[in-house]
Amino acid sequence: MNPPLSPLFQGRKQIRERFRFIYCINDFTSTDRIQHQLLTNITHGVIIARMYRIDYYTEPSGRQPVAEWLDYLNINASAHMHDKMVRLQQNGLMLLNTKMMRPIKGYGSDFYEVKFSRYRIALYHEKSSNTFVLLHGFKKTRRRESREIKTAYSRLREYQSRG
Amino acid sequence: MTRTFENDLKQKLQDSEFAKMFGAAQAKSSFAITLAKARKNLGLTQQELADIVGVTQSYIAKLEGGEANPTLERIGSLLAAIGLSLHTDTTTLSPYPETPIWEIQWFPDAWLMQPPIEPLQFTVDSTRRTEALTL
Repeated sequence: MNPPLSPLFQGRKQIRERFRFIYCINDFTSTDRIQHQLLTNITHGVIIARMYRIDYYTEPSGRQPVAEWLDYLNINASAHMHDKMVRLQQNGLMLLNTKMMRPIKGYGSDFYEVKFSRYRIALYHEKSSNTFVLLHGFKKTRRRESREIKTAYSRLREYQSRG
Repeated sequence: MTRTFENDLKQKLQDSEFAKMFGAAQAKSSFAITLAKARKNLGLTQQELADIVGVTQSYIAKLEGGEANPTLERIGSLLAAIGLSLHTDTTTLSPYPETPIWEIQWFPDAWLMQPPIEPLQFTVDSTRRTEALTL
């Protein structure tokens, strides 16, 4: 490759390339041009945008169980859970490196849970649209855990069957 | 009326009590992600990191889960053990502010360049079969 020209002799294309450095730190929704795309273009070591969507699972009847559950939670747990969801939106599957998120085993791939204390949100990562679908929120107890995960899994099956 | 997560959070942040808790949660998870990244970059397991800094593995797990509440001193000494120091900064509380914050990283020779250019627009007139390129 030729060494880069001095900016004075560059065409518009090269200048445009350089201005791809401009990126948005904290708003993932209002940038229409790059909305709903996973961009991992790295120019000069800077990742421009990494975006995920967070959606509530909506039952055919229109109910949104996780939205209701987050309203019903106590304020501390609710704030923490909202925060984890925001981190998930910003960092995506990188969160698997921390202890905030882990895959649920035994139910296929792309099925995860995010935890705070004893509260859990089971979610599904839809790769095609890069969306995390919040399926079920619950408080983990030893007796009820498998039942709760089955609830989440049945919602996941329903969601996937929509096509 | 279907709700969306982002609108719900914006609405809940109007409540000052919720906002306080949310700020606390953000501080914890911010440090959790920073620590996990630093540990991954060093190629350490949680146990190895715990041995280096002299705490238990379960405490590291709690820190990375955003559930522990370490003092500033403790954060500083913990990072010092792996040769790092804490760099703090502030940003807006709401992750979805009304006006987006754009961060522009300039080059040393940025003064030579023109201001950002509008995206390319292709106008196709099918009747005349000509393509006009506006830039």
